[in-house]
Amino acid sequence: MRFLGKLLRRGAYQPTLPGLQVPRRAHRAAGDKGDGARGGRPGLRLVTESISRRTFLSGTLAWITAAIVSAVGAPVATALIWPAFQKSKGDWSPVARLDNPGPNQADLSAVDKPILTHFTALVQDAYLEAAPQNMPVFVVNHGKGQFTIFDVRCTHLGCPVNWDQKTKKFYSPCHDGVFDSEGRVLAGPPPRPLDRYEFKVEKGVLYAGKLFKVDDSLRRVTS
Amino acid sequence: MFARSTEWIEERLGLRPVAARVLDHPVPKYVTWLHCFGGLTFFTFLILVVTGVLMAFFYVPTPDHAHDSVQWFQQTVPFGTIIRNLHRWSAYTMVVLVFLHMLRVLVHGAYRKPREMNWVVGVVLLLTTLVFAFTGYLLPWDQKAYWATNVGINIAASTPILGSFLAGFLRGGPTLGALTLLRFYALHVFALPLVLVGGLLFHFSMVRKQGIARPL
Ligand code: FES
Repeated sequence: MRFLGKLLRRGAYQPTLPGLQVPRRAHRAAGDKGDGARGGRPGLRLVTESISRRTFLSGTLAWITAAIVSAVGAPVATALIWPAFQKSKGDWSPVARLDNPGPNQADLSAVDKPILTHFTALVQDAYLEAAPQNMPVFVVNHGKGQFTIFDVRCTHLGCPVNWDQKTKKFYSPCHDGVFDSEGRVLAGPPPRPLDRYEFKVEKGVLYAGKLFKVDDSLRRVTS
Repeated sequence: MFARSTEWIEERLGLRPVAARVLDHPVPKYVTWLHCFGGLTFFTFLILVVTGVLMAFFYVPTPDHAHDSVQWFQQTVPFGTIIRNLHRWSAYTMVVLVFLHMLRVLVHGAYRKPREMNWVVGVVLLLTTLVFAFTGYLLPWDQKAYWATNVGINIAASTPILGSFLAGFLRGGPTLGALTLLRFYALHVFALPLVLVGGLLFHFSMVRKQGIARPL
């Protein structure tokens, strides 16, 4: 405090920064590490370079400011971007009972015909441990316990697609995207086939699992 | 490279003379460490703004979610505890510093002519700071917040004549609940910052215009 006070008040205070410099013609004797430890040998010379009080003070101020800004800014920035790195942990959610569907459940007995329905996934939504979310899907029963669960969202920009039973195609209402009955792109801007959910059948109930993407030959590309 | 890019900007905007006008000015010899309280108050305000804006990204001002979102922010979001406590302690510190600043001005008699208006604005800033502290206290929506606000509103209710109106206004109705939380939140993050920043602009420009008062 007193030191800084002096700095601020006294006009002609000139702090100096010491620096070490090796003179041109100095050479080391064998065994001398050049650290000047051997008494009296003038291997190294202390030179000083003076800077103005104003430069010293504004430089110090700038560094202190930078330190404070990063001390507050780094945690704040980390907290701000952290949500972008959170992944949803997909869990199994019941879609429908197969033999004897409940009152609000879809009848999935028709084979090879996409049925529009939805299931309720309990997702972790920030501080809500199990927030119910409605997931609209097309379910196709292939018979023999085989199912495909399509996400209704078009892979272009996410408009919900419609199934047309006459042409047996999915149509996106937004930019004329067309998909065949297996979700392959037939026309329009969608970059990849319709996304799907994992499925399993347990005790006569169809479950939907994680959402995944497929490539043009319908092979799974995301875990 | 740094020097070159600052040159590039300088050539186009010419900010250096402006910066010089704002920052480079002689400080009178009689300025002491006691004159720092105002600036320190402003410093705590800056920290409150940064941490507060960040918390606004995570806080949900409804009775069913406020407490959970605060707990989640502290326990799950990285640095949540640090950021929230930085906000809390900066708030306490700001209130203390504001009073120290006022005490300094009082002792130095710096409120006298021609600086009376700046004293008045300073008092408005002081009251704004206190309302900030009061409204912010409710937002965590825990037992302490709820009952402290209850007491605060009852104090307002004991005002002669206007009392029951004031209490109803603060509560946003007959019960301390959703509307109370929402109006405290709106005051805390929208209305009060505008008042405070407006007041600060006036306060600072008057200090600059009139200079620092000579001590007695
Ligand atoms: S959203 Fe389906 S084609 Fe654009």
